[in-house]
Amino acid sequence: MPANLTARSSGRRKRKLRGSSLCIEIATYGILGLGCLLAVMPIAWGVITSLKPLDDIVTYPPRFLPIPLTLGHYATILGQASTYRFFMNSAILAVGTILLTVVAALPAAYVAARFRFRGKNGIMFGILAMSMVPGISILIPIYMLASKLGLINSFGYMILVYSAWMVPQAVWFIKGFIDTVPRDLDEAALIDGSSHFGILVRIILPLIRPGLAAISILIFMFVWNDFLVNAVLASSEENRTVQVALVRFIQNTEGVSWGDFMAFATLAIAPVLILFLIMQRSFVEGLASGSVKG
Amino acid sequence: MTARLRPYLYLMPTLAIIFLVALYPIYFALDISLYRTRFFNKLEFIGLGNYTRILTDPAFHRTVLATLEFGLGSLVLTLPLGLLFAVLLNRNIYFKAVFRAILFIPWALSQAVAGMLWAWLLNSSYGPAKYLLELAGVHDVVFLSDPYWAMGMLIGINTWMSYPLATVLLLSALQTVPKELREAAIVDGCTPWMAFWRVVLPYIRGSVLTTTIILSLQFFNMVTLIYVVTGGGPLGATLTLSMVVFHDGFLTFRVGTAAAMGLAMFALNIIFSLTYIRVLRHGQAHE
Repeated sequence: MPANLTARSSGRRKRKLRGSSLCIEIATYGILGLGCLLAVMPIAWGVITSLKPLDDIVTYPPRFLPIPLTLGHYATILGQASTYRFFMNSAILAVGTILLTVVAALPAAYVAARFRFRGKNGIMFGILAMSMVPGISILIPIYMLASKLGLINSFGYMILVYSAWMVPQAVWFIKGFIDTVPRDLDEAALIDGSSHFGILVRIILPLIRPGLAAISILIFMFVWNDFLVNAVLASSEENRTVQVALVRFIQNTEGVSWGDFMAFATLAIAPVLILFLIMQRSFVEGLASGSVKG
Repeated sequence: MTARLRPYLYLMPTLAIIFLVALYPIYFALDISLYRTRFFNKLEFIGLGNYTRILTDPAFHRTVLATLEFGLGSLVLTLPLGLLFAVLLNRNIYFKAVFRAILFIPWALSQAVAGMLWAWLLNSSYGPAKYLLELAGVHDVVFLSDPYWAMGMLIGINTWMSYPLATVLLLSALQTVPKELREAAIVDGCTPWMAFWRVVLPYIRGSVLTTTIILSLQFFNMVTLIYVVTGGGPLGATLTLSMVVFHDGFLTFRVGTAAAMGLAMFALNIIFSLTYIRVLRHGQAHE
């Protein structure tokens, strides 16, 4: 009798759970759908604006669909030589920072992962602490140093600044990947007469390529999306990056052509977004494991 | 001998870069923060004069308040939203990869672009946000030109931009929670809701704390978004500490006080970060 009762009540609970789990199911998709809508809404509105003729942009109530559709704003933006210049500048800074940061961080990460030496903890802690210096705190001295040394508008200096901000993170990130490479491999190579540099380049480097790709994308996104460094260190228009050019575009006191601006902004978002969507899984996971482990 | 020096040799490039462009500038900022300045020139030594000037400035009170409003406001929205999406993405659902890819999109945008896209959406002459509110019967909304609204909008935009980071960190934490743990709680009579609060959340407590600190630092140091959306206005309502450093340093050229305030921010960052590291060590000791 009591057994029967339990069976019945647990049956009822199951049914009840199934009913509530349907609600949970609906809520899950509903919330995620709404979230996705909100996530793309401002971007979609920007892209729509970039496709509308001027009269349809500055009208109230707003027109929600770009009909008639025009590519005129893109033609205007792509017809200006400066646009290519801005994109080129951003690309040079991003690629330069990736190269300098990875080349500097790789050997440091290698010794951090594989060697014991005097002062190691202190040095590694110092590097970690440096990743916590907020950019805004040292922007003024960085500008003053540049102006004293005649390095305003110098891309080399900007790359150095970006690298200084990225290198601590890169060291810890790459160290995490080297830690996953079995030590037996280095030891076998050492016995075969390989140098440490040889081990790093010929054995470890090929094995941590996914990690290097992930940190490179993180650096690319950071530099491509940064406004402050270039805004402060580039004094002439021809040395501006895409981000700074966009902000100055909007600050134009003679009035902003929102269609042209949104075409420009869409073009600026595109490379990062494409890279981000293609590589999302690998570097999201890398970042998550890196930050959670510290 | 070379073998003993090798680690230091390999560390040289990293340490050199950090020294040149992080450590030395800190020293440089410390130095200039002790002088009266005109533009970027040092005039005379005034000791802690810049620091006392900041503290006695009547606007400082408002700056601290704006910083707290912006930081805490953003945190209170970003953390639960990030956690909500993380929990939902951790469920067994269809199209998980698609939802995740789309939800993370705001993360790929720069602060400048995110700010300008929203400013256009909230535009007081042609913006659809105003139109939709008017359809709903709310008239005369001024999103960015009213001090009270501007801060709210800024917090909202920041939340939109920042929740993906919270979701990423919390999702990876949720994936470490053993399934049996939650199931056992439910078998013991917990509702899924209770199981989440009493079992799952305590399990990822460390990651929640980490995420809180990472987000707090990010909000505390944020400049570009605020600069682009409100420029610190209206009437200084959105001038946070980080904005004041940028504003004083590069727009009104009160470099001495800006450097001093920048260093004070750095100190606060360190205090936060040390807490962060201590919390992490504590967490690891438990594992």
